[in-house]
Amino acid sequence: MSGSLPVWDPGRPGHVLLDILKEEVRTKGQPDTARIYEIAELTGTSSAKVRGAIGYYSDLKTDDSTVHVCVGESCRARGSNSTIANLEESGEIVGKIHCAGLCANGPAIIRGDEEVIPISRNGNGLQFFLSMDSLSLSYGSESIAESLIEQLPSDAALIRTGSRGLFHLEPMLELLINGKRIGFGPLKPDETSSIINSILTDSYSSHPKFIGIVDSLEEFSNQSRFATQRIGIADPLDIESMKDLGAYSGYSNAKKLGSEGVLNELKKSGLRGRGGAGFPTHFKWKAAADEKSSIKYVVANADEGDAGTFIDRMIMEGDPHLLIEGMLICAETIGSNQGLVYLRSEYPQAKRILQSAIDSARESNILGEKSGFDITIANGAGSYVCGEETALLESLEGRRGEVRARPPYPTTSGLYGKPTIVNNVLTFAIAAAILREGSEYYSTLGTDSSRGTVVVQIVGATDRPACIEVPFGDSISQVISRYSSHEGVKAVQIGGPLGSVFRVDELQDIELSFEGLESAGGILGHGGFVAFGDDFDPHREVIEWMRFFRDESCGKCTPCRIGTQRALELLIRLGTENEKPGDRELITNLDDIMTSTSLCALGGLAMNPVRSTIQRWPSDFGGHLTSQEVLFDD
Amino acid sequence: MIEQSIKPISLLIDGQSVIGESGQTVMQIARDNGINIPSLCDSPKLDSFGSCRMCIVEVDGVRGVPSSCTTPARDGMEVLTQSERLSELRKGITELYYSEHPIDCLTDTRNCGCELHDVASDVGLRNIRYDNTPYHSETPIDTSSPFFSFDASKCIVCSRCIRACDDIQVTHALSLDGRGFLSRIIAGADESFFDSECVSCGACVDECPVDALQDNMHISAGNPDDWIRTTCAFCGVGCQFDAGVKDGKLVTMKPAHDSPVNQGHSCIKGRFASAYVHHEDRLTVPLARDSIDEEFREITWDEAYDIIADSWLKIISESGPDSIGAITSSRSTNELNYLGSKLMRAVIGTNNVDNCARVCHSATVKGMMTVFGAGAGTNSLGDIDVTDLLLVSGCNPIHGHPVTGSRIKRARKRGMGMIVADPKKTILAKMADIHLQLRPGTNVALYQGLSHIIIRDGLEANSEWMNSRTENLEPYKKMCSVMTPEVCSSITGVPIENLEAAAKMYATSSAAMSVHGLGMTEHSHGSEGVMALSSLALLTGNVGRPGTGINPLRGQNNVQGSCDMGALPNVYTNYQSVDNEVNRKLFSEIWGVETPSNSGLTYPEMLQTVGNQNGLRSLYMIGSDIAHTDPDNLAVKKALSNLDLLIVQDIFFCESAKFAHLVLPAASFLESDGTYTNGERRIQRIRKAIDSPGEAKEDWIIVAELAQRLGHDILAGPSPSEVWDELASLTPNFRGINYSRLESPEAVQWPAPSAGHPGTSVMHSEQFSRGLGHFAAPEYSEPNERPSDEFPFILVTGRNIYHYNSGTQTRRTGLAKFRDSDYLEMNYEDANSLSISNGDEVWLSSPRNRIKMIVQVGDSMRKGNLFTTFHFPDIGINSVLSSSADGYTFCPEYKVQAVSVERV
Repeated sequence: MSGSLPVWDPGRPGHVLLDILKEEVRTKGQPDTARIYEIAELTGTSSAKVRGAIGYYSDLKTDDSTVHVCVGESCRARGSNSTIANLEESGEIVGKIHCAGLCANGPAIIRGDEEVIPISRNGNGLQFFLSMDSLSLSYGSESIAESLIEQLPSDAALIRTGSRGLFHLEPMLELLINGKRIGFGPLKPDETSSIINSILTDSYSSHPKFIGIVDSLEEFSNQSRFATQRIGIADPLDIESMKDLGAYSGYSNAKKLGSEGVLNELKKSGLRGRGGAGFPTHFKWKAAADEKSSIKYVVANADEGDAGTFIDRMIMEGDPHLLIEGMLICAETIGSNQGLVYLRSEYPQAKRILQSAIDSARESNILGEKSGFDITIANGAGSYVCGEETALLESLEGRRGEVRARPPYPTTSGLYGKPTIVNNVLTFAIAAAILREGSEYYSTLGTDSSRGTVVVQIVGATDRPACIEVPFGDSISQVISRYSSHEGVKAVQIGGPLGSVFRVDELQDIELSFEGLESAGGILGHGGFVAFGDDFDPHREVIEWMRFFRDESCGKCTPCRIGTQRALELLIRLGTENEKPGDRELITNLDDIMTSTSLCALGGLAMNPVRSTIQRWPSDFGGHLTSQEVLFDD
Repeated sequence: MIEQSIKPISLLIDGQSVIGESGQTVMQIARDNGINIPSLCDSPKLDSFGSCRMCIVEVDGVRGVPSSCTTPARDGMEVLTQSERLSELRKGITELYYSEHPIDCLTDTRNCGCELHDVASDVGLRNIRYDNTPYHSETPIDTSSPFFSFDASKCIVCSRCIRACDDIQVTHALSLDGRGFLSRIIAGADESFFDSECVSCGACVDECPVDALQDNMHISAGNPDDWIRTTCAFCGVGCQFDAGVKDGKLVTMKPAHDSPVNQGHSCIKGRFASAYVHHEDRLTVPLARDSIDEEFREITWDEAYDIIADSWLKIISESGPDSIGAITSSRSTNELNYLGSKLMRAVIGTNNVDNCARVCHSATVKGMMTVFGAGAGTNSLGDIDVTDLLLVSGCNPIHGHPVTGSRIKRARKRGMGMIVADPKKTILAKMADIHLQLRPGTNVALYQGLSHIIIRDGLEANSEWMNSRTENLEPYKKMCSVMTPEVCSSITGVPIENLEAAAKMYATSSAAMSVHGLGMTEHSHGSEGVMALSSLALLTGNVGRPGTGINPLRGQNNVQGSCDMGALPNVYTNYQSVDNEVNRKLFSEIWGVETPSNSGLTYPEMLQTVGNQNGLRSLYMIGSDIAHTDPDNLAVKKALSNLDLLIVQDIFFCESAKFAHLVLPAASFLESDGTYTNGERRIQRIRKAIDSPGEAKEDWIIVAELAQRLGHDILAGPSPSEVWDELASLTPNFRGINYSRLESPEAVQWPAPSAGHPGTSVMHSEQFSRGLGHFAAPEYSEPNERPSDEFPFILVTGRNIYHYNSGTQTRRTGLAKFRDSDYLEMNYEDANSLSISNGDEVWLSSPRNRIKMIVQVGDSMRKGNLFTTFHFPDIGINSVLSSSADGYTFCPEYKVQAVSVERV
């Protein structure tokens, strides 16, 4: 039932077209004309729409790369360029990707799409816990698991969980002792035997990798873990354990409260959407609830494309039932029976775990026919702008991911023209947590207009990358120094590729909140903080940013479609001997046009990192450029 | 659909107070009030898109500069469309456009019609600061279509062409390749336009703001000097066009945006294939010969009229007026058909007048007349936009009536249900909820079978409807009672579950509408099939309301009108019977002569009498080509060659002219004044836009001059307008209609019995034309043509979008490039069993003749059934067909023919 097409429309063949094409390209290569016509017939669309989709999505291009390296901001800050050079030197064909959500451990190197099925074991004896989050796997947690399995006492359990988010400790092994979780990390596979020994001999506290009681770590005790509360605690795929920790209690409360009651709770909580725009969630849900339509959709935006952010992935891998629960609560509130998760293709592990959680929720009749709501996962096909909600809907309809003009908003005319809620994964997660805990506690946290907590991901050129959840309101500098480190950091980009870049010393005066960043000329985005080190090269970075926007622009609106290309040309020659008279005025002018008239945030914010960088490091853009007023003087 | 109440709202735009409606955008209200906001991607015919960002405005209390095309207007809103800020931004965007557009466009001072150029003038852009090295400047122009070309270097990627194809034509032949800066328009799987799924409707050409897509005729001839509103002369949809004329030549055909019929849309033929009027093959002088073995000689009109008059007077004196007959034309005007009927009845003294609708929709007239009392479509094409369910029977509008076909597809997109009953798996059948793929010739069984289920399940209309609006229900129920789903399924070959589902869907929809075509009529029981279909509508109360009814899709432009005009052997205008004394008295009085009382012969009957004692000796054929178009046409040709005098009046030297003694050069529709009546009873003007070639004359003038030569002035005045006034005065349903009322884009749908009557969109709403709706209960009979061991296949004939009937016009245009022959469509299984492959040449045989055809193997037809078109006389498909016909109307059984196939 999910994703079924409500009316005949060959222009909207549904997401199945992209799935078929991905499989086609993967197994048979680029389809020729005859094959395109066959696929069109098969999917009830026209050859042009098939060809149009192929032409749009990066995943539908044949790719002869032997390895992919991430060149997203965080991985760039961690030296992906030299990684690529090294790989190429060794004869590899390197394909570039923009973020695999492994930002803390970049540069991410991806080989094939082989699936990792984490090893685990049940038992009544010692209870060991080890993260199977993608990032933990990239730190080597699977080899720790393999080595543990061989050595653990036969009655010991190895439970795989999500990640606690303290990446400098990964891989981190936890053990339940006297009702407390103690931890060891960061581990190497050859350290497992000494740890087991130390436990069996009760001498673990003197083990060099012993870090104490995990919840008592300063990095933890200071957090206000709310949406992230269960991540890392239990096996996300064990629905009963998760229920013991409160999973689906929010949904029970929601059913008791009814639609109006839920909306009221959300209103009192002050929850604002976490996709970037910060729109009050209760307004959005109410708008969809008020629509009279027999078909409504609940869509989770799991196209977490901003390099430097990965909390959505961590939720899907560490507590997928929280997302399912948030979507269920939304469905209950607005009156929907179809849910979709638009999940980026770069997150295979999240897909596997989420799908498994959906299956077990169906088995428990939490989802499926008896519950009246079901969820399907639709995989993205490689397009950054599909994280924009209307482009995402187009993509779900099997179309090119071109942004739609708003209004109408998706709440009145969304997927297939039906009322649709599109919320970010984290937003659904927080909504579920609010219904679980009640709005009161949440609303006491944070500032007046940024209520509650914020999940911050601090990555890039820092030796203490972290993902933490704290109340809004502290200074950004304070948060970084408490949970990570400023050491060696020259610049920080906040809020994804479209976010502004700050000198590290500016951050102590900027409040961690939607408003705090806005008043500093930046955006909070999805809470990603990418640190750039001493090797930060402002000119190269602005070119990288603009090239990315040029490549990822959907092309619908003119300021972005042509503007990003013209901007790239101007930026490349800016401050070099190729610069032409008038270029500076022209780029200032172009900034104004793109920022003021673009259809969506991609074009509207594309100049944000460029402008903020040039303003802060003017001398990097030509020796004769001495004042920031020369550029962007308005 | 959600009904939203529309409220008037008032806005202040640029300080000017304007009124609009809630639900409108700022752009729409500005446009309605004559305020021009620059825009490139917006079009009144397309949904708001918001891509060019040129129509930005400032709104009081709103941050930034929203695009007016996507901003809903609110009561009290204050909007600025012009300001220094807006001007600066628009100039900047235009400059970006020109960095990817031929720079000479900017400096071009001619009125090139490029909207980007206009915008540049508006914002005062004079030079481009960016490098102008457009990415697509080297892309070759796509000239694959004979009608239009695509120059990617001019394209501004506004997607209006794609949206027009998706949302107006609904073919989805266009898309973009690449993304972002690399986006470019592609047709099909990145093919040439010609090779793609594009059907050359030209909607994209119409929408293109920068002439990247351009009409070839327009490119070579330039801008027209004059525009003349007229009606398309191809199919019965009745699309309105503005003919663009320059130096006496047609330059372009622009579909009229204000017409409720086509709403600015067109098909390939209407827009691009009217240039046949300038073809060198046009007849320009009258031609005569004494016997058909001789060569023709050119003569004057006077000589021509003399020949006819002398011959006819001689025939009348020797064997009476009934030895003369005329076939008028459903291609020509109402006025011609009326005058043709008047010529035969009042001047010659015979009712032997018929028209070519005989072989298409005569069974519709008979069938609907029986049930409803009027042989005309009950509703309007616009009802497709509001109905819940469309039942499409025996027609293929995507090919035969493309503009209606697009309208149906648009309705499907909004969620309209659809059932298609057709032996062929048509494009619409593929997109329907249910396809009833019945055996050819079993319509009566199908519709009675559906009625059986509806009655069985108690889904028929309520008793109030039955009692107050209908009669003969019990005999009908009795007849349907034998047509159980099992029986119906065994006759029609339609699975029982499809019958059950279709019956339920039709009966339970809040408004179910039927459209049908010649697949309903061209049968040995065609009239009965239409009766069965009409009775089904009656049974479920699906008549007399918007979105319901029985609606024949007329094949030719004026099938409705030629019949309405009384160009039929048994009736005067609007089906007033000639054997009714009151009618005859009225007509005799107004015409000033005694008119004959005996019904005349249908034209197939006339042909059968050739050579008999007192049989037909002379035939006057206006704008029809029966030697090509009629079945068993070897017999037709034989009859024609045995006439004393065959007069063929046409625009080209057609197949029938080969048997004529006299060939009269006629004017085309672009050279004539008058009216056509489309399939929804809408009477629309055609207007003379260009002069006729040589001495060719308008049809109605030739008939009038011929009458004059015979000593009778049959004209009420000097123009068709007076001819209309006379016939309207004789016809209650037309009495309120005159030419001045036809000036509005909506024209008038008859009946309009008085001057103040608005015309009729939905007929039979209070009562049926005959009083009560009459359930017709014909008994199902097998088709006359049945497969045998010798002729095991059943052949169905029909149209293809790229040609029109005999192809006399369309074969003389660029359409020939799209399709140059008729093909025989055969199912895979049959092809396998006969070892026939796609493209093989076969003999197609019947007892009448055998012809060679090329086979197209596919799944469009079921095993045992074949399909072909009939547009190419060289193929000679009609020589294979039999003269078997509808028992009531002589409409031939074109749709069921027993044939055999063998490899050449």
